[in-house]
Amino acid sequence: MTPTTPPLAACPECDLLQREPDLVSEGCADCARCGAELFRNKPHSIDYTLAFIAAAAIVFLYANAFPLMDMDASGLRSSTTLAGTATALGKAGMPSVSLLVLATAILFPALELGAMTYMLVPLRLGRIPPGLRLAFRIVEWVRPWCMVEVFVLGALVAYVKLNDVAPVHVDPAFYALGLFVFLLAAADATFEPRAVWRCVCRLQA
Amino acid sequence: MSTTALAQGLMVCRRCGQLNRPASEAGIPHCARCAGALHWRKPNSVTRTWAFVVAAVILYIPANLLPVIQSATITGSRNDTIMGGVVYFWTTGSWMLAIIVFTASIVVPGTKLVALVLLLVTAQRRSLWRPVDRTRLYRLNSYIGRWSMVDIYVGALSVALVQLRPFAEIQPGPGAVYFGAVVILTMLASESFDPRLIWDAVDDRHE
Repeated sequence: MTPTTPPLAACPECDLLQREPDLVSEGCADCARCGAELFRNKPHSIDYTLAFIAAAAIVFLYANAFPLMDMDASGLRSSTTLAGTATALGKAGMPSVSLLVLATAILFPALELGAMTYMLVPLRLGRIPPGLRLAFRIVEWVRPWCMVEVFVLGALVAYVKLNDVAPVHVDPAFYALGLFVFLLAAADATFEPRAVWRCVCRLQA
Repeated sequence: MSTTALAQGLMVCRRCGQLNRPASEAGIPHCARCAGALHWRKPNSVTRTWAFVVAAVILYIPANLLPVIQSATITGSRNDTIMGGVVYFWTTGSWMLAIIVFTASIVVPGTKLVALVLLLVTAQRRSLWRPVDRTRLYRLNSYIGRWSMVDIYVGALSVALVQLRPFAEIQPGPGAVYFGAVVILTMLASESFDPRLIWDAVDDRHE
């Protein structure tokens, strides 16, 4: 099995075979028939993605280490961390929903950060890490299951709702989580798989 | 004259986009670039998607009928279904939140299921009807599904924060399990549908 030599691309959504256009910087190639995005031309993709991933990782650690919100009901106090929202469901007898929250809000985002770092740091330093192909497939697989932005929306809804019960106070870790959403989105937006494979080709040569 | 990868005997990798010319020997071929498994079309796409859709439709019923949140305060206790939560927001004046929760928890899963059935039926009938729009529908479907998780997170945070016995306590209701399952199943359903099936009918007609 050999990769084809002419610069052709097939649309992942309609299978149309088409010649790859030469893109200007920041350009984007869409399928001629169904409009699906084929690829983008992002200069310095690896540098940008790494920068956003590094920032996102720091912010994510902070968001996980401290309480997101706390509540004060005339002397009775309670607070919760991100992991606390998952464990509370487990304690309340819902291990499946607990696991769902744990995976989509903490484990999968952490896995994406880890796999991206594992793949991009060595490439940036001019080495191909062992298992790079697996790390790449993990990133592509895990992405739709990272739902921190949905969690943040849910937390905002809960904030308004719970203020009817007792005053709720938003803690710095929650702002960090909000920032994390933007940093991870920026990392995803600057990540261009082709840049990874170009870099691999260059290093193998 | 346009042609497809399939017609040229090329397999496109769904993870990295590499075109591969598979060797003739048996077994599942793997991408030369990222080593992911290659398929001409997602395996058993229609059957799998139907299975996820049917399972989601069945669980959609208890997800909406059973309470997702059970709250007890000194003034009394209440069990809220998803729709009950929407009504609560609406009547207490938080109409913005009512709209967000109603859209994410009721409109999105319902629309997704209807859209998937439409995609499945037209693909099975090898319909030539508006393939571009159907592909867009598929794309939209894969994007919006995740937002249905909002209610699960609202519940998770409420349960974690409101443990103020004897003043107030919130517990998750059995509906939450079914609702979570519906969200996951609809996401798996749109992931297992192969939009290229829409175009195979178009391409076969032109040959």
